[in-house]
Amino acid sequence: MTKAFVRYVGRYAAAIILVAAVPASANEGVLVFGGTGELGREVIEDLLAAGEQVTIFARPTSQTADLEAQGVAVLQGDVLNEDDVSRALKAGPFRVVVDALARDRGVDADFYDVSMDYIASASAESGVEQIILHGSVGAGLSKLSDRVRETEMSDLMVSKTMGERHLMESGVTYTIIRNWALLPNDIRESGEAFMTPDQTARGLITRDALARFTVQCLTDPMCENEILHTVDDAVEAREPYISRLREQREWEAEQRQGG
Amino acid sequence: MKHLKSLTLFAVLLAWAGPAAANTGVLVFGGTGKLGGEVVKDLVAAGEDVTVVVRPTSDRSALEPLGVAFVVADVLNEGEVSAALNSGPYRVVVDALARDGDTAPDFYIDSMKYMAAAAAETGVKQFILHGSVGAGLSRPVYPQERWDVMGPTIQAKDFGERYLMESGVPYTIIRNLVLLPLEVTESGEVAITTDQTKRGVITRDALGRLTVECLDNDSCINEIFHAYDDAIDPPGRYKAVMESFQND
Repeated sequence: MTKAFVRYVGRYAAAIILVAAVPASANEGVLVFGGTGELGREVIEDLLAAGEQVTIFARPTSQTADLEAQGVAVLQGDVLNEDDVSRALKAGPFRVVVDALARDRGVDADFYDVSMDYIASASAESGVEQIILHGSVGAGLSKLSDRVRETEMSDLMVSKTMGERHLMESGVTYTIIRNWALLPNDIRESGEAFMTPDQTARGLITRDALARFTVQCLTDPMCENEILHTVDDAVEAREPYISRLREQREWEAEQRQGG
Repeated sequence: MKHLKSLTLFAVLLAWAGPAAANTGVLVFGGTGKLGGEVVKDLVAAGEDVTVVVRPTSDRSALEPLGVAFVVADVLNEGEVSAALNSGPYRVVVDALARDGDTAPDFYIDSMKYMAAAAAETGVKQFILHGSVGAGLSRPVYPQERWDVMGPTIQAKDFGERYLMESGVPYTIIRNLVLLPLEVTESGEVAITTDQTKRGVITRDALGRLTVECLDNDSCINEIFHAYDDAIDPPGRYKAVMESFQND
């Protein structure tokens, strides 16, 4: 009788814990790395507009007051310090991690390799469901369709490729959104920006489009364990981007003709 | 009643498809090579239904007595690779390919591009690749003195790994650094590790055995391993190679 009762209560206790845990996990927020940068700020604006609870990881010297005023929580640390990153992830739980990092001038090229090593392993450990990385065309397999196919990747692309690897091997569901030519912030998307898993695709893209894709990828199954290139062919660009794109398109046309 | 009927039909289909799916075989690329030969031998010993992809010119004489099936294809021909996979269904694909001396390193990029895509398309459940230390995250531990010669090959193998990892097919990558001659056999203390800084020697018989152990094994799914045999006493030349690695 007593045993049965304990089992009975035990079962309900488990159910109660489960019920209590479900809404909590559904509300878990998004942790953004690189949130104080140009791309990061656009991403945060869209995440907040989508009703997400946003936390950023930033250095003590970063300007965060305006973000905090919008309700963004701040965790301080250095992304090249493994303990800092691990502590930040444990401050969650976070459902999603977004990496919009860009290294400062003068920082070693291995920045992308090392930072993602720490972010991916800490995310895997703390049960993050998805990592969205804003990466670069030229990393991984996209290198094979570069116009200038050098035998060796640049140190920067090696670092970014390693970063992607850390992410892909972490076991956390990944979404890598690559850009080829990121336009200045004052240029806005045309309305025809798109993502494609075709790693030969190259085009101009704006930060507001990348931010929109970030939010889209929170729920879109097309983003699950995928590497996506971003293109906005109808955007109103200016030099030197127009020339860079024209040269790329001319080269692509030559390739198609078997030239 | 209607539901019952469709349920019965479903059950019948399941019963019919179930054993067939469980019995689908293993397709081996590179099966006529030195490593592939060991792999095929062990797969056959494990009771697997093995099909080996061969070129028209390949020497099948060592494999024929094992009772394996053959499918003819050039791995650098996308259509032929696709046809080979479609000759299945295959549950598992094993890639033990090594390029001929006069084939460019891109061999590893193009062959995997075609194999991984065809494997994804035909619903292969596991793809086991015998890769090389130096690819992917193990690049920093690849001996610099060898990189000067082997760099392009290792880079091509790195791209090959990426094609596999991005295909969506559950993968197992077993990397080796120094492969000992066929006549050297394993010590009994072979190990695999997910530590991508590990460097060591390994024998082909051990890699054959590890292939079978990873078959349908959840702990091998979507993992990259380095295989090593620290207890083996490698022949002189190989001992010197390993010792030279300690210096960098």
